Amino acid sequence: MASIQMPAYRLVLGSSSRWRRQVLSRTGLPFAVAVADIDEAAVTTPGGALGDRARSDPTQLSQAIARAKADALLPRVSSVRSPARSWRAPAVGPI
Amino acid sequence: MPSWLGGEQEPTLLVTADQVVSYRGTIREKPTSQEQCREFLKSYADEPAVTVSSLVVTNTATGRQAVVRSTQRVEVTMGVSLVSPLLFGLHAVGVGGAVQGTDIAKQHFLPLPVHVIDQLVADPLMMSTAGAFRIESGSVPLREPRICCCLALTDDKHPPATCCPCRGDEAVPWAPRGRRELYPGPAAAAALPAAGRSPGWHASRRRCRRTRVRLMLDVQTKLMLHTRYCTDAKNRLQVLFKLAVARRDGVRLRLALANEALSAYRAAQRELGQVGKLVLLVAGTRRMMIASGLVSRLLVSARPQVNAGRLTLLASRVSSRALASMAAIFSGPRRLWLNTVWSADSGASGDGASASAS
Repeated sequence: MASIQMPAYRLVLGSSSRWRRQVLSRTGLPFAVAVADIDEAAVTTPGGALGDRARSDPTQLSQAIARAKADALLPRVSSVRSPARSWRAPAVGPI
Repeated sequence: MPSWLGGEQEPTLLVTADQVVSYRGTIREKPTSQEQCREFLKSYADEPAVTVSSLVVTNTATGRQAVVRSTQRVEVTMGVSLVSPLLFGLHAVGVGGAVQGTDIAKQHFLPLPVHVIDQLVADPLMMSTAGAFRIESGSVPLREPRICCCLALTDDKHPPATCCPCRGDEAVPWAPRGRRELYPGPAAAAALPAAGRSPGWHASRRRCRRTRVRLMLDVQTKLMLHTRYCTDAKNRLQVLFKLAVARRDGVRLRLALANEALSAYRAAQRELGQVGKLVLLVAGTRRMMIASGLVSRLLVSARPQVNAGRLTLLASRVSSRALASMAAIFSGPRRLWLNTVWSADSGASGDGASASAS
């Protein structure tokens, strides 16, 4: 069974959540933390009826906000302080 | 190529996440006032809050994004078991695959006691969280992965932490040795856990919502009534009795203590406003007659609770004859569900054993 060798990656957690940080710490992977300073309330989805955010589809809205955080962080990712070492994913079987 | 993409930089996996709270089909924003925060918290007893969580992993070398989905829905929403799906997502992005999806979980709440709501509303963090919904609140943790309501009658030698279902990193802080309180009498004990009246009840700062009462029932035998419970997604209340008394104590005393525990259990039910699941644990009782007598007496006293739900019997440090005797009580026409657990500290057997009758 063929295995897949991943290249080395830096890992950046783009969240201010203390809980998510704890969870990721449990993996033992080195990672850096960056917080996206975006106005979540300004994020809307096409499904939101005429800008009525309260009636948006929650799935689309949560994905849109998560992507907006990623978009806001991308220009800064390279300047985020790197962890001590990069992470190389272990070889895994077919996914 | 955008400036943030790769170049000579080491490729980066950027993990971002968001959770929105939906209630009755409407997205809940951050509360605008303490009154609205209080209203939100009260409303979750009527209908579960639906949390929708998305996790996006972005590969800065390729710009590829994937929304990670997990099969462990509730745990992911809580952030507890996010590790495995995250690793899966990292692999998926790294090798060029993509996993699409979002985790949706319903969060059931018991009616929150007034003093818990007061404490939550006073927490400034609650005003900055959508729907006043914050599992990871440091002030009043609201959930634990399992239900536990624990009424333990025990002594210094047998702390309930060794048998309580919510053992683990939330070990029960035990009263320091030498602590003495006078036994307040049956009437006071029966009224003990009344909501908002007993100063002994307080919300723990530990992970689960937990209230507890300690009462030194008998100075000479160091017996204690220890009560605590917390709630979980299943919205059920579970009660654990632990009867671990010194061998010199008589049956009559044990039965009196059992009745005290039942009174506290009923009071806890009144506070939570529901009938819960009853877990009866008999520990350290090697004499068959005592064990079976205790179980019989408790079943008679707790019949309304037992009939309303399911009964679980946990036995620890109980001889095999006593266990068989107790099991026989449940195998009759009562049609009760029974699960006996032979704990690891049992002298007779180190393996778990279970029996059920329905």
